[in-house]
Amino acid sequence: MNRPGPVGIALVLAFAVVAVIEFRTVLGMVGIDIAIGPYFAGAAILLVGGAAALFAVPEELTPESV
Amino acid sequence: MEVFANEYPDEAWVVRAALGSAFVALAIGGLMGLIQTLHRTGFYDSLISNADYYTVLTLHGVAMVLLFTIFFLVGFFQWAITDSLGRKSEDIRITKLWYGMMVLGSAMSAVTILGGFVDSGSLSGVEADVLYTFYAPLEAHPLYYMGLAVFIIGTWIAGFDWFRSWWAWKKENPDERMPLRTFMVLTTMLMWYLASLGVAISVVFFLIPWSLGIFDSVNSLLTRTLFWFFGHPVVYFWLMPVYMMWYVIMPKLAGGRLFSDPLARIVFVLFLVLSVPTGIHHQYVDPGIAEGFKFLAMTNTMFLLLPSLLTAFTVVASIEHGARQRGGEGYFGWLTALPWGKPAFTGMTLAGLMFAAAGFSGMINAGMSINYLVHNTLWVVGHFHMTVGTAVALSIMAATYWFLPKITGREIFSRRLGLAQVLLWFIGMVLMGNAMHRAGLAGVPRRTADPTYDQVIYDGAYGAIGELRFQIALGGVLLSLSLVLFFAHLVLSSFDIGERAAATPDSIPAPLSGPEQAPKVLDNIRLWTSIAVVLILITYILPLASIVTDGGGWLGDSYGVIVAEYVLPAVSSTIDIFVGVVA
Ligand code: HEM
Ligand SMILES: [Cu+2]
Repeated sequence: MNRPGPVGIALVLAFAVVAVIEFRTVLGMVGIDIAIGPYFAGAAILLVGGAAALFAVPEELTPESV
Repeated sequence: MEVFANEYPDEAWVVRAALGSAFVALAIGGLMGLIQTLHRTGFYDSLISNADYYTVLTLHGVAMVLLFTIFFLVGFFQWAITDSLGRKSEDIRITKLWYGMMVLGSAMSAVTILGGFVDSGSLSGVEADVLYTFYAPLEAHPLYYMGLAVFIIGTWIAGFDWFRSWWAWKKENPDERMPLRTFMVLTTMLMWYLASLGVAISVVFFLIPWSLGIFDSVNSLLTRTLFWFFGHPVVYFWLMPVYMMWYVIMPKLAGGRLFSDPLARIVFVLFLVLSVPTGIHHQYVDPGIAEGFKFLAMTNTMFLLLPSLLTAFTVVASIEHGARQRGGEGYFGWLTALPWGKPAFTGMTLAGLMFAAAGFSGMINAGMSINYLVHNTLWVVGHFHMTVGTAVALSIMAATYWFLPKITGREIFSRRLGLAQVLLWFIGMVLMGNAMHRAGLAGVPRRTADPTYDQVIYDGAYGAIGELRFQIALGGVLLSLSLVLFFAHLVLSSFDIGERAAATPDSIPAPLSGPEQAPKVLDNIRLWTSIAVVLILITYILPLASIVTDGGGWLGDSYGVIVAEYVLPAVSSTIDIFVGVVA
């Protein structure tokens, strides 16, 4: 596998944000309640990471950037 | 070959104007959406009063699903027809006429909706807080219905304009197959003619006379049924241009070719045939319609899954082909060879993914019995924000990044900005859409300014209801931010701040399996339209007859003064004279 480019990282992090937040509900369904604070903090960090990755996307598209 | 904007400047003007109208509606609708999410979740409810909530909601619904989607559609279809037939409008004045009528109609309706915010002065009686579903017994100012009628007639003329182009083209190319994009436009418009007939009858014969005071009442069940006759197929009117983008633009962006032209034609034929005779599935809970008719509508609805599944297959096969052309390998490894750096591609893919997820909640809605669990709850709102609100809206925004250079002759401003925008929409909608589904399961109603009235606490939700409320609000804010990025992008692109060289013209590559593989009968749109009409008659004649005979006649309880004192006596004396003459 190739090393993921910045776009790939941004995409994966976008999915991760969603997964982290939804996962809390899934845990809640099986009776494990986790405090809300760390979860949203985690999601926020991922979101910032995704935004940072986007800044590394080159404006001109090259084969390496995808 | 030239860029579309230079080759067909007049047509490109209309396309740009239509897109401009669409985006104005999107901006207004987005602002209302933000107000709603914050208001009904209780995070910021002092901007409007509860009494104005329906004005906001009407504006949101009408701006988003009637104006934004349909204005974009007419612009996109104008491009599709002109570009695929390679000919100018037969008469550009007609093209400008239908666009002008649509703008006029929108303005008429918008004034009445906005009047709802004004409680005194000359606009005080002008209101249209009837939501985008506008059936009785909610009543609007006559101008609201008249505006809708003018708008719809505008779209009818647009369809006629495109048929005219095709007829002229066929005269010159008698032996050629209809180009795919033209085929898609024409089948969509035929579907639209059939579908919009229901709402046109409701508006012209019942709602307008009623709101003018000519009738004192109308048969609410009848206007509701006629609305849904149109209200389900209208979703395909939003979706079919998006399917065209997925079939035509995505394979190209992925570096490949459409997998199968015949399959794409079959999908559009299926939509033409099956879209209308399903509308009663919005009335599963309606007591005025017998269960058997609902069952028939459910059966047709389940068949309608087929064209969407075919689409999923064809589109994925096409982009996989593209990825392999670009050197992608393995069962899933080819996914990394897709052009994720292009906002148009990434946005449309995310939109398609969300559409697949929403298809599952759609199956719940479509099931006659399980529908009772979710009817009129936020679940439904979650469902259609993932379908029309994302599969359609996000595809439109994403496709705009590809489309804009064609019609303006200038590149878009920034890939990064475009990517940030589509990703933000995706994250925002997952939050808002999911939480709405779950809140709906807990019983939170839709179309309600303050769902916590009477201290209802909605037990039994997975995760506290407070958390769901927070996710809805957060999702709504992220979506609004995404819209801000989108509009910023449009503005920056139009001022050409990026100073990109003008877009190079490009064409749509030929499909892997071309139209010559498709049986000729597929292009026989008369046949498919006739089948559609027969199916509509089968599913609607009996329910409509029973609504009129058992459910209060054409006009409900009373005819009203004007009809009772003038129309009926006039009719009966005419009959007397006639009988006298004959005898
Ligand atoms: C900024 C993004 C958006 C936000 C925050 C938002 C928010 C909302 C909310 C909270 C409601 C439910 C109100 C209620 O039932 O009380 C709603 C209703 C609705 N939304 Fe959105 N929305 C957004 C974008 C869209 C888009 C893009 C579309 C379609 C293209 C759309 C179409 C609708 C429709 C048709 C309704 C139903 C209106 C009715 O019940 O009459 N929305 N929206
Ligand atoms: Cu429907």
